[in-house]
Amino acid sequence: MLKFLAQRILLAFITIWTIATITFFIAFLAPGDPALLKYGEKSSPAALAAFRHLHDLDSPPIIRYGHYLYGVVHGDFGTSFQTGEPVSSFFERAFPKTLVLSLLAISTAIIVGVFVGTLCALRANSVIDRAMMAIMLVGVGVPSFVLAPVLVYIFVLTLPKLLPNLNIEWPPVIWSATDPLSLLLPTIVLAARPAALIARMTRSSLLDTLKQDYVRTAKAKGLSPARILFVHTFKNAFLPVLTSIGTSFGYLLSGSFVVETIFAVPGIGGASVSSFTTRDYPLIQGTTLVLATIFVVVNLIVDILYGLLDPRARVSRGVAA
Amino acid sequence: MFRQSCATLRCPALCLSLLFILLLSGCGHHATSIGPDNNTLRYALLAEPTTFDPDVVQDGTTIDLLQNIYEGLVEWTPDNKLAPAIASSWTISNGGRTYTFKIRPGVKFHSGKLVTAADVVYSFTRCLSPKLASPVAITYMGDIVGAADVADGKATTLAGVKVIDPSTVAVTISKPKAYWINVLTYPTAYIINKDAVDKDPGGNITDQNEDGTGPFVLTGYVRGQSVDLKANPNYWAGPPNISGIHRPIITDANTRHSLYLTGQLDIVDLSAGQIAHDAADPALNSQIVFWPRAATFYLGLNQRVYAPFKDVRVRQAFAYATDKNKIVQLVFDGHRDVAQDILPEGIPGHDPNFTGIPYDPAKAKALLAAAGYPGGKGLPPLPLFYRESYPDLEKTVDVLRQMYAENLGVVVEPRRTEWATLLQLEDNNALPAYHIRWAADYLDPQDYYSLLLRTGSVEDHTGYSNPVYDALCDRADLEQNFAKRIALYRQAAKIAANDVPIIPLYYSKEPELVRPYVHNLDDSLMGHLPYLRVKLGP
Repeated sequence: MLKFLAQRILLAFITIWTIATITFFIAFLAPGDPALLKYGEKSSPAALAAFRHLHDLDSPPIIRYGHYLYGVVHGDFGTSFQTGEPVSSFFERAFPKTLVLSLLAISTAIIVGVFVGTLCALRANSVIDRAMMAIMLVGVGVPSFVLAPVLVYIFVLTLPKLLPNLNIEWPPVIWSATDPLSLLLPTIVLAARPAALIARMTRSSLLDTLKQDYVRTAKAKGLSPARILFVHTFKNAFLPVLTSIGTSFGYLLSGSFVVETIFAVPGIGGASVSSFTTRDYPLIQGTTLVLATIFVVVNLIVDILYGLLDPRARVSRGVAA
Repeated sequence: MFRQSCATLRCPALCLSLLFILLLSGCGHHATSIGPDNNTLRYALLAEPTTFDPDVVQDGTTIDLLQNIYEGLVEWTPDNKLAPAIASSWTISNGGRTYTFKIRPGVKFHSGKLVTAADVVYSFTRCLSPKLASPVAITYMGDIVGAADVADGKATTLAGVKVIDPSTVAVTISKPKAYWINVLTYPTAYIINKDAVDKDPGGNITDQNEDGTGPFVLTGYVRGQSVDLKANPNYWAGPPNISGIHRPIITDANTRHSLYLTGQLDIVDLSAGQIAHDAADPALNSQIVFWPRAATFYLGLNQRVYAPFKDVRVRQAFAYATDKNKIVQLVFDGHRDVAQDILPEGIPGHDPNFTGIPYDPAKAKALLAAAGYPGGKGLPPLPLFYRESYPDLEKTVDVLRQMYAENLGVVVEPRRTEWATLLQLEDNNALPAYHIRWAADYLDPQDYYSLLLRTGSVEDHTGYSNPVYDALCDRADLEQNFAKRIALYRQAAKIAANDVPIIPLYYSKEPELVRPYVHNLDDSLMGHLPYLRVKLGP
């Protein structure tokens, strides 16, 4: 197990370093001058030069790469071109918001996904199964930039007008630090896709497991259906679902760009979108690197959990526990 | 067997709906009523403020914020004229080179300190300091004697600005540029308090050490969320009518629109798609306002890159082949004013009766044939550059492409270009033809005629050069008699219209929705003015 862990962690470091290097050098391939973009055509050459110097844009690429790696290792990702805020303090304030939203979304997705998936597996090919799976297909297929405005239209712009007398607190349009209800719509939008994926995965995995010989044996021995389901089947059926949860969580932490922009959540995603359009390289590089690291770490945890839940996973990787 | 044991799981849809209703139900309503909130103006910021330092700011969104907190010696009025602000009056002497400003008595910084002539000296010197490396200071303040020395680090005192007495300051400029005082409206010339700046260890102005003289005081800034201002009770012109301004930072246009619709914003910007939607809504239609802006959208014809443009007849042919009314109708449903001249309406020197080259396809064809390109034969395809992600520009370019194909037989190749790349290409004079806008720095014809088209000016990217035009601009720039000055620019304008270095297409307008309960929203061609007079109520 230790060797397995060591291998994984080494691989994780190599992955992160590769990503850091690629995001650094890709900035050189992009045409256009960030100084000119920031200050515009009316700026003085001295100010452009000062800006380039401040952000180390006037050093040769390889020296800059050295500075950059040194900074990254020391937790210094530079300062944002646009706002002058250090990228590390941006993460400090923005990441907790993204994390809360992602945790809410993934919990919702797991509850809904496992519940629906189990139900559909138990009622395979029934009307309910088909209907739910059709809904889940929509969940996978409809992108968040469509779902979010639709939900805003229904729950913010239309229903409160149509049903003014219902004693209901309607969700607000945008995120607010003091109003927990403002997390509702972004959570639903973020949870839709992972919930659908988890449901589909749970269903197929459970169906597969329920056909196994040991389940039949358990039934033959007269174990209660609930015991068979919750004690014996679930643990085995859950393995592929776990991978799906891990990947989804990684995506949630990194991929909530659209949702955060639409609901004005001051998290990582919303700021990243504007950093791309304004060529804010330190912010782009920092965001990419941190998100990639999160992704790698989440995958690492999933791998380890996998190993813990299923001894075969360890053996098949050639490393006995 | 499993079916029975899992009976409780029946009707999942019902369970989920119950859960959702449980989540939704609370004890009260979210505000769905539309009306003023706490006498506070709610107006979204389209992006994170780039800075809180007036000496370095240059983006419109942040300027609109800072002009409520800080102010300069002079300011714009709703009728686009220059008015006294911190300076109560001024005199011009020394052949137009020295401006002597009287500081208005009783103007105080938010901290309570009285503004004196020494603060003007400090403010004008600090913005130029090499350490600050302001991208705009030398552009706007560079005419002051000694400005370059301060900017280059050769001097720490600004030779051209002198304290006469605590309430009088004299500013001397290198040439008697008649338009010069206009630059003092720009934030880099705002008056700041040295004591406040010194509180920051790096000598920067942030949200933590704000100390302006403006009608509003900065009370809170949460990155990524909002900026809040409250009324300055000690403002020299009397306190504002509203008690504060709330500026939530919302980058998504549709989200801003939804917030306006649900009554959580009092003013909101409109994108092209939203205008059509709101115009169809009887309630919203009356709330749409098109604010005229001092910006001209034009087509640049670069003779350095596209050789046929060296022949004035080819450039004139393009002008005669341009149906500006059609562009305004097709792209903007008529919500723009056709530009006959580069200089927009409202700026001194604009002549409403001036008509440049009219639309005349027959004449266009004849001129092109005379230049040796009958029916467009022999003209190489013309790449036309424009900025990406601006649908209006894209549509305009498409209309132009069709017009020139039809009227001239020229193949126009639209080139959608990312902004940083476009700026760099423009800087290198490498764009054969380009559709772009020129926005004023201040409301004076010099900012258009001399900066945009005079030979060798920084903004001349067309390779156009006419000594007669240049001489007229040079004379006009220094002419102290206003009427004579304007007459000189008018002569220059006629020459430029005939020489066609660029084709002005239309003047900019900024559409917004404004709630009917928002009164006295002062606006100038430069944008909204400080929200001093704004009143919320029936």
